Parts: sequence; C-alpha cells; structure tokens
Amino acid sequence: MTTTLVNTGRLRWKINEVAVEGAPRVGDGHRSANRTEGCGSAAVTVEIAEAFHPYMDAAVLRLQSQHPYASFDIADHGIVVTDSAGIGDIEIRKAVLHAVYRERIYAETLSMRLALVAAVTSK
Amino acid sequence: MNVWPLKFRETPDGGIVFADDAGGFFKSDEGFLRRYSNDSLNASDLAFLRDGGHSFGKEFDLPWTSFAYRWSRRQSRPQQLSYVILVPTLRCNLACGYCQVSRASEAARGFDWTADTLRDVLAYLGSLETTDIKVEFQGGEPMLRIDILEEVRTFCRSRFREAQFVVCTNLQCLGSRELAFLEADDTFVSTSLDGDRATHERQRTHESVRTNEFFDNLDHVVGRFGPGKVSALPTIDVDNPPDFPALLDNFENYGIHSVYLRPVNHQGFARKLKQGTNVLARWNRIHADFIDLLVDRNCRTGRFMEEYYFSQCLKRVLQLGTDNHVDIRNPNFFASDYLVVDHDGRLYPTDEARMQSRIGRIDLSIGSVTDGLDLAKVALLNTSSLNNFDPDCIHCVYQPFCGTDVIDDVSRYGRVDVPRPDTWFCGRHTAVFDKVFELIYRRDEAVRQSLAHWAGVSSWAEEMAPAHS
Repeated sequence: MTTTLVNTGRLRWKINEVAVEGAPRVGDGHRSANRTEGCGSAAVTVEIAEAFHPYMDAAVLRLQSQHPYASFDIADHGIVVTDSAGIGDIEIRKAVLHAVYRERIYAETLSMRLALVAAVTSK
Repeated sequence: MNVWPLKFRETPDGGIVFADDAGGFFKSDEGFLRRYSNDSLNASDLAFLRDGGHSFGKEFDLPWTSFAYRWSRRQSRPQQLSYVILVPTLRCNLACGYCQVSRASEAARGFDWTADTLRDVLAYLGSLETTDIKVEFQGGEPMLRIDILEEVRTFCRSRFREAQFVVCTNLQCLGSRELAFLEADDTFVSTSLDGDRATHERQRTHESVRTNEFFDNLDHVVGRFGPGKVSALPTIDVDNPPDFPALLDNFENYGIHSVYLRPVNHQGFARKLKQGTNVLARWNRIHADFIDLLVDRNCRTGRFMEEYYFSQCLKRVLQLGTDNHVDIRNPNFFASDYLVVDHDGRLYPTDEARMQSRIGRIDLSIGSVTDGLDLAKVALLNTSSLNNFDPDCIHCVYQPFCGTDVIDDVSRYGRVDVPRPDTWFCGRHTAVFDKVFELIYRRDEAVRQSLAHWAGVSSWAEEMAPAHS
C-alpha cells in the first residue's frame, strides 16, 4: 500500500491509500533509491528523511507536472516513482530530492521573502 | 545567522549553481546543497555565505539592508513614458514571408496616418510629462511617409529638451529627401541584414535588382554617415540558417560589431511559417554555437564582436539595474516607459501586441491617441507581468536575471497561465542563461576576454565567478 494525492476540487487535495503494483512495501528499501520489478511497471522508492516529510505533497505535485509520463506517490518513508522509463535511478533520486529540497526551502523562507517585499515596497 | 533562500540548478559538469533573490550567485556541489537543505551548514559554508551577502543576522541590520538594496535594484521600476514606437504607415515595398506585422502592400489605401491622426499623435506627444524622448519609426516601411517623419521630428525637437529618432527601414528606396532626413545627428538607422547576400535575397528581397538596391544603399549610408549611424539585425530561419562566419564578416565590413540574432518572431505572417519540429531546441543550439563562434573569432582576430541579447543577459547576471531592454526585465509593466502608436492611432503596449491585434487574434490595444490610455486594461495585463512569485520561477535559479513576456505567451498559447517551463520564453531564456553560466565558469582565457568585453569591464576577475566547495 502507498498513498497518493487525489484532486477533490479546486486546489484541494486529499491523501488516499491505494495499492501500487510493483511498489516496494514500506521498509523494503535499504538504499535511498530502490528499484523493484513487479507485475506492473518498475518502481523506485526514494527515501525521504523525516524532516522533509511535510514537503512531500508539494514536491509530488511539482514532479508530476515536470514528468507527466511518470507516476509519483507518497509512501510512509519516501516517494515511489513508477513508469519512469528512460530516466535512470540516479536521475530519479536527484529529481525527487531536489524537488523536496526546493519545497522545504520555499516554505521555510517564505516569511523572509514576504518581509523583504513588504519593507522595500511599503510607502 | 539567517540564510536568504537559495535557488539552484545542476550544471552539465555535475556542479550546482546557486542564486539568491537579489541575484547573488555562486557555484558549489551536491554536498553543499544537502547541508543547506538539511540545516547542517558547516563553519566554512556559513563564512562563505556571509562574505557573499547571502545571509544576515537580524532584520534591518547592515547585511539585510544591503540585500534589500540589491533586491530592489533587480526590480525594474516603472519610468516616465519617454519612448514611443510610431507606425505612420503599415504599407511596405517588400513582401517578406516571415513579416511579423502582416504589412500592407505598397499601393494599399487606408493604412497610413490621416491628417487627423497625425494631429492627435502630436497632441498626445505634447501631453507627455517627459523632457526627453526617443522616437522609433516602424512600419510597414516608414520611409514611404517621409513627410510624416519630418513633421514628427520637427515637433519633437521643439517640444522636448532632447529627442532622438530611429528609423527602422529596409533601405530599399533612398532619395535625396530621405538621405537629408537621415543626415541629422539625432537620427539613426536600424535595418535588417540577414547575413550574406544570398541569405538576404532568399529571405527578403527575392530578386537581385532589389538586393543590389539594398546593399548599394547600405554602402552609401555607412560611407556617408559613418558606422555609428546604422545598426542592423538578422532574422534567423532555424530551418535554413545563414553561413554565420560570413554573416559576421558582412556585419564587420559595415562597421557593425553588435549582432542581435533573432529567431523568426511568432507574429503576423510569420505564424504561418512552417519550421518543423523542435524549433526551440534547434534555435537554442544555433544560438549557443554562435556564441562559441564569437569567442573563437574574437580571440583569433582581436576585434570584438558581440551577440547583443547574450551580452544583455550576461550584464543582467553581473550587474544591477540592467533594465533597458524591454524584452527582458522584471516586472515588465506595460505602457510605463514605452508604447506603440499604430497606423490608425491606436495605442499598444508592445510592437508584438499590435501584431496580435492586426491578425485578429486578440485585441491588445490599450487606448488611442484621441482617448488616451485604457488604464483598466493595462492593469489587467500587468497582473501577469512579473515572475517573482510565479510557482515555477520562484524555484528557478535564473529568476533574478530573467523577465516575462505575456504577449508572447498569448501569441503562442492563447493564454497567460501556461506553466513557465512549457513556454518558449522560458525554454529560450533557460538556455541563454545556461550558456551564460557555462562561460562564466569556463576557465578559459579566450572566453574571459570576450566576457569582459561583452560585460563592459576592462578585464575578467576571478571573483566574478564565485565558487564554494
């Protein structure tokens, strides 16, 4: 079982638990990018450190738009990538980690940016 | 210590370029990225970030204020309206297949300013608050209405403290009256020169008699008025690009050292031009190769030529406040410092916007010389004219140096909310900035000589390419 984001309307998303064919079970992956072959498409699990978990939702949305032919799903310890034909494991891992990094940087520095804009543009 | 948000992008050599929102940049690696993202920066990282102006202690301390200053200088401020593009006629004496404005034939009627329009244009110009003005005559072929050009210039010279005029002409017909007009010190020529003679004839003049007319007139104008009088731009068909070494030789022969390599603009008749698949990728390859060609040529000859737009993007990376090119700045607010007056007296925010309206795709006019600006429409366009908090740009390392182009998005996609990475504008500029950073970090003397020349500095200094490991 793993989790996916389901669009429930205008900019609202909820997390659903669904089965992903070939996806590893939580705890299966000892490496940070672990490819498994199941009866469906090959899947890669990119383990994400706990500190980054709050940013996985946003990262998955972005990854899905950047790589529309692949599928990104949130699991307990990371992000599962399926149907990533043509993209190597190292590239997948990097793309996923960078997306999560970006979302964390954005979220944790937003107040800094807003304060800057407010200070510079206030009359 | 607080670190300003850093955006990052991998480079082909495995490194990573970082930049903050004020355009401070450096090159590092995956290890630094991991430490930064994991809140585990070491003492060396913190010292580097502090010395590079990427951090501060508390709000409004000196590093914070300094960053705020640099950030504000990265934003293009609305200026007084002081630059107008005037289209006194849409008629033209050439019929280029990729004409961007859907020009009218030379004998057509109803495509010139009427006496009333001219009167209203002069009244409109007279109402501007600016003391200095730059007037660009566009067309069609503006020289077909030399009488109007003369009237406008006479008016502007008397109305403004300083006035400068640029005639965008195909140089096909130059009589004594036209030459007398161009002779003035405040008047300059901008023309199209698509490369060597064969390319220019294939793309524009179509017959040798007309090609001879053009090159004879170009020779005459450069010979009579000197090289600083004329600028020229080539339009590049990615399906059939010119011989670039020959193009550079030809430009240099006319004393023109700045070449603005432009792809066929997706406007007007040019929209119908079939250029095959992967046009953007092929254009980016052509442009990048052209930059390498320039570097080699400059090093070999010792005579420096530039690609104008690349130099502009390079300056935007290295300097604050390089906002004088309207195609790349942020925010790019419309009708703030320049606008277009079309052949019927209607006002447009850009030349491309009037082209959109001309083909009936969308009415992007923002008023008329009679009724003035439609401020509500300008405000509507301006809502999409900045990149700072765009959901894609905010993660892009090139955001502080880049711009926006709503009109191009409308032209190509019919909407303004296409994800940025999927747009021509983003694809083109990502490639240009990739090339800029590739050269900045290429430790090569030939490259550094050209970069220094293009950036307008006496020599390249190591500190201009900061790196941290």
